Amino acid sequence: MKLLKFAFLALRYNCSAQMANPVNLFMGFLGMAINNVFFMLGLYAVLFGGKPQNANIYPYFLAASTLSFFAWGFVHFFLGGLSKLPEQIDNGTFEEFLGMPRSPIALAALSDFNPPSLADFIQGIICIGLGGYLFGFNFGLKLFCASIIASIAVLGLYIFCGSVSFFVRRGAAIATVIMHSTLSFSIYPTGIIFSGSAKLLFYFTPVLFTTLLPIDAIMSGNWHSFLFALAMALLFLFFSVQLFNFGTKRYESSSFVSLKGS
Amino acid sequence: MIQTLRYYFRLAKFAVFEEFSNIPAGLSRFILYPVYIWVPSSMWIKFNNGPNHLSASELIQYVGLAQVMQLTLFPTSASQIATGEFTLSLARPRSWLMSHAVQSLGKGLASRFIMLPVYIFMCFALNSSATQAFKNAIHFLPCMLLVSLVDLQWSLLFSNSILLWHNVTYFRMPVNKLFLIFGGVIGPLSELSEPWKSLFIATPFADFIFQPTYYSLKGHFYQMQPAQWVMRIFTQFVVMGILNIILFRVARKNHLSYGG
Repeated sequence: MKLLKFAFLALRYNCSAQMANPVNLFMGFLGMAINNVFFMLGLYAVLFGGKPQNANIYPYFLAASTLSFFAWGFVHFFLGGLSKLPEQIDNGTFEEFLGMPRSPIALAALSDFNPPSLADFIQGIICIGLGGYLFGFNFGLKLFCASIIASIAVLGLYIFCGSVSFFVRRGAAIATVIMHSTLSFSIYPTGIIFSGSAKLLFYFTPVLFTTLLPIDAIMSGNWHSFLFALAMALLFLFFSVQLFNFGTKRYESSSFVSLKGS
Repeated sequence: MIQTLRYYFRLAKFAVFEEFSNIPAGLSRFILYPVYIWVPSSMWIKFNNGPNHLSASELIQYVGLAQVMQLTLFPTSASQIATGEFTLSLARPRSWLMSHAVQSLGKGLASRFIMLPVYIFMCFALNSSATQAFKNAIHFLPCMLLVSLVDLQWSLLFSNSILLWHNVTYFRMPVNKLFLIFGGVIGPLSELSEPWKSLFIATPFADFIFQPTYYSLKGHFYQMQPAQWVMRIFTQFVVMGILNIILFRVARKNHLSYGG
């Protein structure tokens, strides 16, 4: 409860700081919104322009886009500090969170705010509305539930990527690769592009939690699939947090010398 | 004059070596590169069962080469401007614009040269012909040199705009997407249906990525003579060059530094 109160306070301060420069906030929002529209337009032209035979994959395409916008936007916007976590651990600035009487992950997550990601998040909500309008209320509801599950999985992914820096030198570069490749596989309709052994390969990557299982739940439509996707996302988050806590204990900050000298 | 030229040449050479030594960025780019070839080409092969002009193998080669351009766009970091590098340069006896230009050109060319052997290897790894990929890379070189000049102008346009309006940094990604979509990186524009095809091919982004890539594969430009393509690239270079000079002059007078 205390943590939730702290999170609201951090959010309020972050919002207040961003509102002090509304032009910056608006430009960030606009930039990301245009970026997403271009990408959707391009994918639409490639997949559906003059190709009526592909009309049946439209729900999948919409679901993949919705999940990516909503989940990545949510985590980036409300918990924006997590995207900088691998770099902070690499360069030692993470150390300041260890000396405070709160969870280091929560402190790192709430330490920053990413204004452009608000556009992702809002576009995710618009896509949910669009799904509900085009394919019925039930589909919209399924999109919303799957988006929440995907958000939990993306949160787990960011913590997992941060943890990599505890164990590997230049972990930030590896984290960038993991995050970018997962995002790429999430935003394209990977689940229907690949089949057989190629698809099996994704079952050993975070794409399983962030995209494949939530979209399978939407497509199959039964609550067992949703529960399974949720359980797997929570398990992934739990594993990531445990890995992070283990990493924190053996953390040797690279800024140790400079801190001593300053 | 000779000393000045020598200075800029050394600066460009330094930028080239700097790019070669940037191991973390290079490695992450090399690891992501096959992902960026694999996903769009697989998507295209799966969902475009019309009368395609490019075979599956050619498609992998096309996407691979287009991604070489896409991944190496806008080589110079704009963050230097925000941290006051520009302000300091005002007190130096060299042109910031020229220094920035030669650094961008050096970095851009170096990063593309590094990517070409990786491109050949990736084509081989993805069951496409490595010999053909090698030939494509050779064909691509002259186009790449010309296109790098336009990329340089885009890079400068970005930097000059950031000098004036710092918030322009947020538009780096959307502009990148313009090249990705209208440049035909996720699929060859020649195989899109109408009206998308006519719309996309008419844009300058198609001249930048699609046409040189198509030329490298097929040996000719798509519905265009080589002289016509060179003219279009030259026009873009001149127009953007003029725009950059005007923008730089305005920016130099109105720049507000955030650091230094």
